[in-house]
Amino acid sequence: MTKINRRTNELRGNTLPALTWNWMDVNDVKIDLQNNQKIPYTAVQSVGEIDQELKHTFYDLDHGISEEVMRMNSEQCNLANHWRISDREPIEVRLPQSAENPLLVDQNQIIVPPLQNGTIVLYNYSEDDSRVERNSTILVDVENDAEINVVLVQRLNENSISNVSIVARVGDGAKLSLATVELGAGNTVFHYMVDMEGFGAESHVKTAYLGSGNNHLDLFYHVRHIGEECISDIQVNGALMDHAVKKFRGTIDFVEGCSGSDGNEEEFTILLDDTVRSIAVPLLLAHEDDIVGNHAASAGQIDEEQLFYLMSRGLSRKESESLIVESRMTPTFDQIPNEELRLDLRKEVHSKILHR
Amino acid sequence: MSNLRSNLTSDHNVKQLDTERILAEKAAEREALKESRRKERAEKLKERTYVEEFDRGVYDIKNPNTYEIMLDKGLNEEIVREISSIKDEPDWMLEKRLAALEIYRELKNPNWGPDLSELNMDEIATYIRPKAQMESNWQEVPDEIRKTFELLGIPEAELDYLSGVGAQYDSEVVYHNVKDYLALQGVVYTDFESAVEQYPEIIQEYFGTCLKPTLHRYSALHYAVWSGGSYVYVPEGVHVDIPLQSYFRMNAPGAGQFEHTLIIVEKGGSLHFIEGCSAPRYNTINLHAGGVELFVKEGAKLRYSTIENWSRNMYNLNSKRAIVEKDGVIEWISGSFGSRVSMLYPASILIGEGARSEFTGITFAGAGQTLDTGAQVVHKAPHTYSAVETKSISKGGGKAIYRSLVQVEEGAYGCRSNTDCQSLMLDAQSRGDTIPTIILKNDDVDFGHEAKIGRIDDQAIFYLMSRGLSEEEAKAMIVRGFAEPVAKELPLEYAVEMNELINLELKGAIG
Amino acid sequence: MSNMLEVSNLKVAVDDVEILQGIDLEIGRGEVHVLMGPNGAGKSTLARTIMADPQFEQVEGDIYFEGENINEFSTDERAKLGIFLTFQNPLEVAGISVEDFLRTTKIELTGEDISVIKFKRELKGHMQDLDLDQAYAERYLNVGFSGGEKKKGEILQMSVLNPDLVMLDEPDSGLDVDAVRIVSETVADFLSDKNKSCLIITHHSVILESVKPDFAHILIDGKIVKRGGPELIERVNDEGYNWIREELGLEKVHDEVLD
Ligand SMILES: Nc1ncnc2c1ncn2[C@@H]1O[C@H](COP(=O)(O)OP(=O)(O)O)[C@@H](O)[C@H]1O
Ligand SMILES: [Mg+2]
Repeated sequence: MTKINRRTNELRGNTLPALTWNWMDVNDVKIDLQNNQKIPYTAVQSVGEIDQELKHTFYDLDHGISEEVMRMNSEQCNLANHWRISDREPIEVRLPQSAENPLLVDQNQIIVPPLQNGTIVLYNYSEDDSRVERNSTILVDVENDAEINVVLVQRLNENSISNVSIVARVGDGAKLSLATVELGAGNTVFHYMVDMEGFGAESHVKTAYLGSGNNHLDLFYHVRHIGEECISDIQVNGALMDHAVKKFRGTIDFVEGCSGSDGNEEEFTILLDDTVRSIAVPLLLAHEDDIVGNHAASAGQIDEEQLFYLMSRGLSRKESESLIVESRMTPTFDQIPNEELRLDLRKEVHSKILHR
Repeated sequence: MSNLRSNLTSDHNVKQLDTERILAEKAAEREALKESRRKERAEKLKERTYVEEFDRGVYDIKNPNTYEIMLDKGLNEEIVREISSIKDEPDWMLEKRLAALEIYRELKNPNWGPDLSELNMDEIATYIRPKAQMESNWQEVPDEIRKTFELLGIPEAELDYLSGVGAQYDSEVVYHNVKDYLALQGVVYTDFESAVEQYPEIIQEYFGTCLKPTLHRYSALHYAVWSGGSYVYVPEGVHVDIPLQSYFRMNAPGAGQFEHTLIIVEKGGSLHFIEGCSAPRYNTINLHAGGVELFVKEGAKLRYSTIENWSRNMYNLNSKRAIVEKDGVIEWISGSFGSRVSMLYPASILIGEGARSEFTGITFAGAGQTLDTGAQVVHKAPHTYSAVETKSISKGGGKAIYRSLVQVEEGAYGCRSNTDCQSLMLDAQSRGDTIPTIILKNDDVDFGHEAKIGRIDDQAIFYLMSRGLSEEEAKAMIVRGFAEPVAKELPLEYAVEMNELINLELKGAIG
Repeated sequence: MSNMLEVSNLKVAVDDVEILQGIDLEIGRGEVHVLMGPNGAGKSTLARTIMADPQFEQVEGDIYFEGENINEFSTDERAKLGIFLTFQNPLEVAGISVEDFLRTTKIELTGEDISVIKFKRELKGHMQDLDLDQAYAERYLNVGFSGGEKKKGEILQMSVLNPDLVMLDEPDSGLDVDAVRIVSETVADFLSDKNKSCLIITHHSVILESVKPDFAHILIDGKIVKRGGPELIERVNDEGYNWIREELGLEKVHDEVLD
């Protein structure tokens, strides 16, 4: 059995693009990655060859969660994938972790050449109860008039740590759709940064999460409108139960010159228990006037009217609650091409809420 | 065999050529579209003209800088002791000042928000006593000072629609008066120095407990060098039916104003307090670091209105905080127009069940201004309610930043909170940022937040112009309409003043 | 004596798509014209172009008002000349009350200061005619108004601002029977002044019974394809547009939705 070695100094990351009051502790987040050496990952084989130059171009745009986390990713990398997407079957990569594979440090490059369009699913999950760590970087280059649908599903056990940085660049008339599902890991740090460089570039993000137990989720998004007439939206939907803590920090950044751009972010949280904690920091930064930026957030318990309606049809209270939570996650789940996986995720949400 | 292969390659070539052709076509289309859109935008841009500085009328009238005492610029223990001895204060107050000075020395400028590096305390005189005594009769106030206030409409306002007036000139209050019938009901409205002397127990009990010197660097500074300000006491069940007003005027260049305002509204009482601020324009940096502490007791109601029109050389680092008890109501009305840099986030701490906070604010940032404003609400008790409605306008390279906090604590069940913030940008040089934080620590809350940022809708302009308004008027009308929710909360005179300020800001600036 | 409005060979485009393809239209003083045509034909586009809506590009042709070429006139300048358009979908303008708005515009149009009291009285009269509640004047322009209130509001503005040429873009759509009657009567009353001219866009005959048009124009696919008098309106109301399409050899459209 392989073991994770411990690092000592405290790590922080996911720093807000515009800082605010320090005492609220929302400017950045503590990173729990502990491994400090390279150990192999044996579940799957690498695909393709990493393009080192591209990697550096992307790191110039953004350092993901933090420079240090990126450095650890480079040094400890045990799975490296490089895809050139063409119009064929969706790619699905299963990334199991267990006592055999306690560490997954993956580098992924997804290149979508002009006019191509495709789907890629990265599915990371625990096979047993052992504590595992993941430190992942995903670079997505969507070239002119190309389209990509990226789906990330995370179902590690609650002893585990998930750190994922996704850095993307979107060209002229190109479109990136990202769906992320966070159903596990005791500590989740997610980072998404996109540079919409092209004219009419688009970025659409949908996240569904369920925080339970003592889970701590940090969901960080930084969408930069650079080219003219770019369109973006961020939709985050989820529910919190037990002692779960969720931090949503989303920024729509309208850079000077992105005239005619339109950016929206929406965050809805369902609070299922008295002991949860829900934090939201939705930023709109505008350095350009010819834009439209919108933000809406709401949080609360499940609407009693809705519950009443479902219960009047004969469902139990918990059944009804679960149905409502699932319905909020449906738009995200719908981006997953594999129906079996979709059903599986639904089932997990259902049973977690039913048995709480 | 070889035939087949060559077929394959030519097929591949055809496909390759197709791709290239489609790409080239798409690129050409896009270039054409880009070009035409750019032209449209350039047209629009050409139509705009800007005025960088404008005459702020009466606000800019400067008096010669004559004073009785002006302490050396800079900040040290000696200066703090001197302020205290000039005021002939009790020892406990001097101790508080010195403790605050220690805290000030330990704290740094915030690592977030506007750049404060140009603000150098060595260049700021913390205490300037005008050549005047505190009066309760306008005629006794020295001519020059009286004239300034008269131009600002202060004594007239007192006769017409106020129940009491205070006027501070640089570091000292020069006039204070409250209508007799209110004084008979036990309402106290006085300058803060007199309050320290006349009501030492009350002041000692409340002073610095709502707004702590440890809050940030400039609240520490405030407690070290405070001077002037107002004390208001509204006894149980007393309704002060017409507003009280304090007006703060800074005349001296390179100086700081650090007034302290403390208001207590006892059980079931009510009060509307208005604060006005202005200063003429100088080229040296001035600092305003006032402190406002509000205590709203059970079932009491306090409305605190501010229209701030400091000049463009002012760093306005003001702190305001209210503690609201059971079923009490605090209403903040806040208009920020002036100053070079503002950092102002009035806070409501709702500690009693059913307490309410409503914040309505407007910020207008023009050329050279960075106005970082907003509100904070902490729900500490069940069934408390908060509403925040803000409007920000930025123009001519100005930066308007909305920053806020809404926090619902553990055990504060059944709270409701709603935020609506809108930003309007009048040109591409300006900036409008929205930086809210929301922290919820229990599940029984009903929370909603909406933010919108953008520019004036062209179709709205067309609609108004189709009724005969010029483009400039149509835009001004939309901006006034945008500001209206705040304007309607202000007393009439202030609403008129605000509209004038908007017109002044917009004149020739767009159209 | 020239016509009040003259449109000749008007071509209008949005994003390089030609929506109006050479429109000719003359409206004399005191005349009432009705403009009919299926949805998407370009009726609103024509009216909005006459009002100089910047979203439409006038690529060719001329617009004359009382003999003067107004191609280069901005929207407000045209309004000042006496042209008025009721919008099919009036815009919401937050923060400005109906009364303040109308008084400001009235002063702008007439160049005379009108006392608040006198104006209130006048406005109240017009509001009563339209059966609008007194509180209506205090409400923000079109914000939270029902469909009927918005349409009536447009007619109210017409009555108050008293223009010479009124273009009514579906003033009767989405109104209940009583409201249609009230709007029709108000418009007919306004037009009883023989110095006023009118271009009305509508799909319904009820309003035309009061307003009594002199001429009808049928607009299909960006062109005026037929002109006539009241008899033409009747035929369209009975039979729709397909017979015209047939006459012209255009493709028939089935199940035409007229509203
Ligand atoms: N702003 C616009 N951008 C693009 N197309 C438009 C625009 N306005 C109108 N159109 C198009 O022009 C045509 C005519 O529209 P309109 O004048 O509203 O028709 P009508 O009023 O006769 O129903 C329609 O096909 C419509 O889709
Ligand atoms: Mg129409």
